[in-house]
Amino acid sequence: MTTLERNPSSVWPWIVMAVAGLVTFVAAMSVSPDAVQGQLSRIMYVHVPSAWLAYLSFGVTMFASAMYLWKRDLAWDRRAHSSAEIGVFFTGLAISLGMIWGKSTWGVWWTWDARLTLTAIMFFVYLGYLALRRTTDDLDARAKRAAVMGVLAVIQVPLVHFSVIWWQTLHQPPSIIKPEGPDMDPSMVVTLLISVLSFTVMYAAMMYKRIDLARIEDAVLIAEQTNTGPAAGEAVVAPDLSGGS
Amino acid sequence: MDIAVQWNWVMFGYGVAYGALVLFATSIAVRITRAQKRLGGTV
Repeated sequence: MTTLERNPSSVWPWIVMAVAGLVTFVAAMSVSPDAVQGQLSRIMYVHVPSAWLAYLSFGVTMFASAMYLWKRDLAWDRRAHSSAEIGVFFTGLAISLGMIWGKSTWGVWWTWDARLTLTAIMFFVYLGYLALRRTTDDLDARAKRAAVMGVLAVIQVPLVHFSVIWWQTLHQPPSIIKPEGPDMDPSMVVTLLISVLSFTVMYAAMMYKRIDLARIEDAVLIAEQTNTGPAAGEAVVAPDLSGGS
Repeated sequence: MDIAVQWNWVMFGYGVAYGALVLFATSIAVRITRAQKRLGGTV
């Protein structure tokens, strides 16, 4: 049963999103430019958090999908769905920002290296996850199909992340999480952490509103499916052929 | 690359990022409003 005890008109998640975006912007514009890339390095402070949120979103989708398969509670399905949609958005954003950064530093918008190609595949697979959800209005069947895909599709996250280590790529290898420690200036590391944290808070606020949307949409679907209005032909009464006896 | 050109690329990137974020957040808000109307304003 869908309950709507939360107030979907609450404004605070929008404010949280705006503040998180502002914090990232101010931090990214305040830090010193990179010695090699100059001002272009500032694109990193939105590109990396977007990629991080793609990983986080699909991880949450996997967890929520597994929880649905275990508990059979549609609330977990709504969480998985919401996180997947946000993940697709941030994957697309990470690709777009990577293309802009790539054109300005490498000289090309796109190259078929392992990181870029696998990220594009991940983007389209999760678009497929969202498309799969539209194949039926049966809430339980939809949730079950999507949950199986949500669990299986997460294998792409480690593939994308470690692609720069496993294959030779134009995309740079990890700069922060590595055995010998970050090879960036501490001020840039701190700024990157601030932006990653801000984007994570933004993700939480987005999830709150997106789950509200999923709850209302499910309630609409249930209301339409349990509509008890008169059916066509319902007023026609069969004639009495018993002869009045 | 000239610093002014670098800033153009940076602002292009941030314009794309924040423009997309605003559009996505707006789409969620609009879909909530529409779904509430379909439900008859009972939530």
